[in-house]
Amino acid sequence: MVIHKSKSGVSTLVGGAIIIGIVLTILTPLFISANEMTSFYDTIAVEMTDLDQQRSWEELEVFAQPTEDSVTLIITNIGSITVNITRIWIYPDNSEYNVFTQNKVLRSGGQITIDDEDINNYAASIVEETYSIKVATDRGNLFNARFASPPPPTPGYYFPLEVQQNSTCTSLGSSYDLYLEVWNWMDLEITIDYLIVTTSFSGGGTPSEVKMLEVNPDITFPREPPERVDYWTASFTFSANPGADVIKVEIVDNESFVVGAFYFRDI
Amino acid sequence: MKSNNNRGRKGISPVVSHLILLIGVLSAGMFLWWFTLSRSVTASQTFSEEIGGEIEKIEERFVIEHVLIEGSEPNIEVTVWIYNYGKIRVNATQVYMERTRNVIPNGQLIEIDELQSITVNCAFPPDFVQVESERGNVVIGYP
Repeated sequence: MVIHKSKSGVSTLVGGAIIIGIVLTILTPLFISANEMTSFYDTIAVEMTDLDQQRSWEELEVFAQPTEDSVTLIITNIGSITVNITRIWIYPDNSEYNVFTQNKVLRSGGQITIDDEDINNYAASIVEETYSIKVATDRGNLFNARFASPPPPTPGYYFPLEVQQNSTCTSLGSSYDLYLEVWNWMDLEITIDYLIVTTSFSGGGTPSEVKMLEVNPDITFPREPPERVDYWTASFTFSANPGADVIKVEIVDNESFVVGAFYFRDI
Repeated sequence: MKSNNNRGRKGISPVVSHLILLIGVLSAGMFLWWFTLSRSVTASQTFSEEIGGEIEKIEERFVIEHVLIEGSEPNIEVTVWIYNYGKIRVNATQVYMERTRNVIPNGQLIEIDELQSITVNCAFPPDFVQVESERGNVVIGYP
């Protein structure tokens, strides 16, 4: 009896050892590797989602300022993330093109002026043609340039209206008080229709928020005296994401042209 | 002496049968182990390849940065600039222009952060251009 019991115990033991061996040597590594692959996939998916999100936060405002023999680009980062400008494309309508490699880093709320010799030379060669400009970033975004309209009266002013330095924007938690003092330096009749206010965060993380503030009644800077109005002040209160530290104000006329712009930083 | 020999003969058969049984169990066990191992290796490889392919597909990002149309109908030449902003090399294999499909033999490899152009022919100026990668990702660009 004792010998028989011992024999059946060995078989059970061997069979059990084989099953345990299979589980330990095959199935466990299989499950571990499958789990690792799935975790790796999830990590990559999160990384790529972050990249897509960062890409969607990129926002540049590009103004082109052409003259007879040059073109100056004023690029402002109105998004909530630092942008690396990689290329500038200039392409006339007649199937030509030229691409200028850049490597310019622009922080949120920052502005750069590109007055490049190569770009100027190319602009001078196509001065009689209509051309477009676009700016490419390393996250794969493209931003088309808007040509300043109407053209600036003197170098240094890219808009007909100038927002004075003593204009203010004050944060009141989830709302902001905006006070504007605006001068018209041009001999042009301009009617202000509305303002576009963009609140953004220089530290990134939170997307920009865009508000439209109606100017009611419209204010018109007439061309001729004695009704000439050069100076305009106005106050607005608007709600937006709290904590924004960069606020851009664009003044839009009744033909939907941006006729003035101003940045409030370190709100 | 006789009783000793008899005792010896009787002792061999249980040992032999035990050995045979053990060999049988071990053989069956080894076969089962080998079979499970081969199936699990195959399953693991298939799973890794599938996940690896999916990872490569989601790591792939590219954009059509510029489209240039030259020539006149029916000999239009379309040049497409593709920028790879993803985390993996892109192999652009096909360019669609509305109803025309252009297969690029062996594809066009675009390294990370690289801008490359592909020129294809078309009978008429396209309103849009579509580029497809080897992994099946598609982007659209406009002239």
